[in-house]
Order: sequence, then C-alpha cells, then structure tokens
Amino acid sequence: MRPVLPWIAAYLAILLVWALIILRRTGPTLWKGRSLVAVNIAFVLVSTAAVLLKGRTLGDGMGGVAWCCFPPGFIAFDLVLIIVAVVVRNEWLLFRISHAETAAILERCFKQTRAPWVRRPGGYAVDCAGVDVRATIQPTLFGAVSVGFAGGAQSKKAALLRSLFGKHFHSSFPTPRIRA
Amino acid sequence: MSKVAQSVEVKCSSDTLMDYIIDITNHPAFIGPLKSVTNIKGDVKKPGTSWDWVYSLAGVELSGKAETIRFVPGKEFTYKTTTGAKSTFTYRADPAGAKTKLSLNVEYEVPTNALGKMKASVFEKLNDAEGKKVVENLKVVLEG
Repeated sequence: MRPVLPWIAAYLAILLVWALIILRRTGPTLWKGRSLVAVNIAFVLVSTAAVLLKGRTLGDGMGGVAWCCFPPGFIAFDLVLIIVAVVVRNEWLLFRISHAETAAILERCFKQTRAPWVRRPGGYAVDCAGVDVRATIQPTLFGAVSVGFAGGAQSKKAALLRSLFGKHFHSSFPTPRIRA
Repeated sequence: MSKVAQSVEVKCSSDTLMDYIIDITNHPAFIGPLKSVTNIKGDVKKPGTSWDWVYSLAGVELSGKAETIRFVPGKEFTYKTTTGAKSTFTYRADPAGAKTKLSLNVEYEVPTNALGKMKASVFEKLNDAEGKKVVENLKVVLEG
C-alpha cells in the first residue's frame, strides 16, 4: 500500500486544485463527468509510465536485473480511477447557480431551439422534432445542481439543445479568453 | 477575401426564418462555436446596431464585436464583425414553393498571423464545413 500513497496524494491534490479553480470563479460552472474521464485516464497513463520508467528490482536472487512490477495497491488505485470515470461520465453538475436560475436558462434554451416543453416533476418533457427528451434538474450535496437529458441520443435537435445549454456556463477546465 | 457559400431548403416561411435569424440571441443555438451574444445596443434590425460575441475554438475563447449592415424583412440580414479579422455574414431567404431557400454567404479575411503555418486552403475548408453545419442546424431548429 505504501508505494501507492504518493500517487493517491498527487491525485487528491489535482482534484483539490481543480475544485478551487471552479469554486473561485464568479459565474456558474458546468462540470461534465467526461472531464473527470480525461483527468483520470491521463493520470493512469502518466503514473503507469512513471512506474514503468522507474522500474523495480525483485530481489537479490535476480542478480541485480531490474524488473518492472506494479504494486497491487497501485493497480487497485488505477482500477478505481477507471471505474469512477466510467460511472460519472454522463453526469452534469452545475456550481454557483440555483435551481430556479437553472430552470430559467433551460426554458430559454427550449425557446431558442424551438422545442415545445411542459413541466414535469423534477424537470421537463421536451419535444425535439418528434423525439421525447426528459430534462431533469435535481439538487445534490454541497449545493450543486445535477442536470440530465434522457432520450434523444440520435436527435440532432436534442444535441443542439444540450450544446446550447452548456454554452451558458464556464467549462470544467479553465479557458483563456482573447479579444479579437 | 475568402468566401463561404452554403444553402439549404427549409420547410417554413421566409418570414418565420428571418424572424428567427434577426433575433441574434438565437445564433448560439445554430452556430456551434458561437458561445454567446450579449450587450446588444439598440434594435438589431437597424444598421449600425452593435453587439458583443464570444467564440469558443480549440479550448480558447475569442471575444469581439459585430454590427448590423442591413435587414430586409423576410429577405435578408447582413452583419459584419468590427474587431479582429474582418468578416461579413449574409443570411438570405428566398421562397421555393412551400419551402424557403436559406442561403448563408460569408466573406472573410484569412487571419494569417493566427494561422501560423496553416495553409489558407485548409482554413477555408474548415470554414466551409462550419458554414454547412450552420445552415443544417438552422434547418433542424426551424423544421422540428
């Protein structure tokens, strides 16, 4: 377990810095689960490459030949990162915004994409060119708002709606802005 | 100046089409890289009315200004960017039986500094592809 502790510490430090960047912004941020997929896969690749490059000596009986081996704790940690990434990949979380403000933005997006909608418990039922889409808004722990779009995976209108909604917020990662 | 010219037939009236397009706050709905349109100073239908825009490209946000050149109800809307690389966008609506032919024409200067070693023809192909997506997205929004 001890060989993996520095890697766990490094990963938690990355998450902490990331969280501070998001929470220090003045406007709302849309955190997408696929951003954690990118971070976790990058971390797994970098940590695996680092361990491979460093190498390991198995013992005196090997005559000083260096072997690479991965401690079981390291493998378990990488597996956890991959599993967590798969589980959260479709999550959308909004920070620094209320349920009511989120609903107002969603309704504006419905109007701008000319998608008729009706309120339903927990969200909306939206007609995306004949395809039913369910848009949900749910409170979560720590004051974040969870937003989901169910259905319409093949609908171009639903894709435009999701894309337009996402444009109203800061993205998961810092984005430099340049004046043209 | 380079050009983009794309067109598509849409199952709606030319008035419906132009009424939707003249509301420039709708533009982020059908222009993929366009993140926002804000700070609209006046009536967009009037020449000289300006607004701020933000484009998001390759993880970088580019902000600038644009203004109306001309609006003809039910027929045409033309505006130009007033900061950065010069470009002029023209949306035209021409009746085509029960449908409307939507045409998008864009004239722009190729920003050689920003491109670096990228060839102008590649840049033009990318913009042509983006123009095609814009008219197709408009068709999706207006016909659905």
